[in-house]
Amino acid sequence: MSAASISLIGFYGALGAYGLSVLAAWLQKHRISVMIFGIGWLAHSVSQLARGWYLGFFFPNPIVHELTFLPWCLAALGLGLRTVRTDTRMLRQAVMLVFVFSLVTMLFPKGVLAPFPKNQTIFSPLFFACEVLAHACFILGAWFGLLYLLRKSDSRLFHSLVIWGFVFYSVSQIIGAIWAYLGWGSPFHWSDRHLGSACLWCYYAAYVHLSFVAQWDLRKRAGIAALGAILAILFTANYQLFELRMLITGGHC
Amino acid sequence: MWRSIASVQLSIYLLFLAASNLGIAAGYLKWMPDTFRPLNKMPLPDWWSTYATADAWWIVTLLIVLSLLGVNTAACTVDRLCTLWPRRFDYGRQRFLVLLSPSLMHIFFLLALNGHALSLFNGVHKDLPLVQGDTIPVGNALVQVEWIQPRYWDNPLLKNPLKQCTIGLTFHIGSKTVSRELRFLKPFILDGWSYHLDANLNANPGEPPQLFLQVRKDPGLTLILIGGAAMSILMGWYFFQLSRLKNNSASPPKAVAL
Repeated sequence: MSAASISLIGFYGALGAYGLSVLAAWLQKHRISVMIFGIGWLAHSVSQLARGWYLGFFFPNPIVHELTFLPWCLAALGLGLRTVRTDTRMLRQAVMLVFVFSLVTMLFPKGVLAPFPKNQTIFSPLFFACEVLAHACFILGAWFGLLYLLRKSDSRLFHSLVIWGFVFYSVSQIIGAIWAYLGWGSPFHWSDRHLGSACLWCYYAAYVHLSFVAQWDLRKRAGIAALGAILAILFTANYQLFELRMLITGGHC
Repeated sequence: MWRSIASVQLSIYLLFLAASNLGIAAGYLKWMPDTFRPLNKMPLPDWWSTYATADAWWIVTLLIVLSLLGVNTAACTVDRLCTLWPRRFDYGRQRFLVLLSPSLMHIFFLLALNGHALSLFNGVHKDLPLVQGDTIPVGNALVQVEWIQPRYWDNPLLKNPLKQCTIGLTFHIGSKTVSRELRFLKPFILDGWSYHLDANLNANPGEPPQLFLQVRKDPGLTLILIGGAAMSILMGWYFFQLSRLKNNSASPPKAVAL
């Protein structure tokens, strides 16, 4: 069986398991829901790893490609919270989000972006790994922030998620700057991609400072965290559509 | 007056303003790339005299907002350091370092911001087509393209299979002659100029991509990279220490926020 087939079957298996997990949670079978979710995440992990050999030789970038890596990171964060926190509701609340993002991934054509001379450096997969992990923290933080606003959760966890998202995002930006310098001659470019990233960084930098001003109470911060995900998804979608064109045409940036 | 300039509330407003401005800028770059992409090839004053129209308003507002943010950050940092430094012996060493790190992060942020300003106003960029046998003048040097050696992926799935390319260059600088090899992702600096290999990778299948010699002088590069890296590392360390303090609950996090 080829790596491409393993990757696809693994992903379909994960999607099915996430769906069953949502169903089990809805039926109040929480232990079963967690168990199926864990199995789904394992299948998803195998799928992600197999993407590294999709082209017949090892190329790490497809492993951390946002479309499939984002739901994997969301699932990993959910499972991590289940392990660290005693409150099991966190994972239940995350399961739905993982399922929705995996469904979105299904809508995109299957395949991986081909390598080109400028992405054959460790800085490229490192950049994407940190950036996608940051996006996952922002999105999960926004989801928990929204639940806090709707009074369906009383946890302040959304704040920690957004803070760590900001740390990962800052690290990704500096790794990206080094990669951009090596590959394109400058750490910053006047492009919608770079300006979108700067916009997101400033937004979350503002969020980080909110906790130092009394008038920005936890509910207001939850609102800002929830709105941030819209920005993150908007800029991500813009870049994913650009990459989709690359996938279809076989072109490069 | 000083209280207002150094207030965190002002930082928050300025950061939200900068985010909005940058979001709008991303839209302009997406929909008007022919007007704004040349900013990558020339200093802002040159671009302004050639390309600027009413659509460039966001550059002016962005520069104003980022300048105000720079002043506010500097004032905040000075204010905090003035409060913190006289009390440095009241805390343990570790705790003092935790308290000091936000100020250091802000100093590194200012370095990176100034680096961007330097690059924007004083950066020099040239894109020169690479053809074997050509001689290209760069500053005080003459650069001779000795040989071009492309390497391809042996994989029929890839439409553009260029894997790497090595260019043999000879530099004649006055009476000195220097030979260098240039590759993708392997730039080098010589005589104050940084040399990069670039290519139009969207060539038709079967056709070799057009190669370019990118020659740059970027006075802000070091500040951007060092400032950004140090800020990110400190940020990770600071939040890790905060969460440790919180988990140990030896001291509540509010006390750390000073």
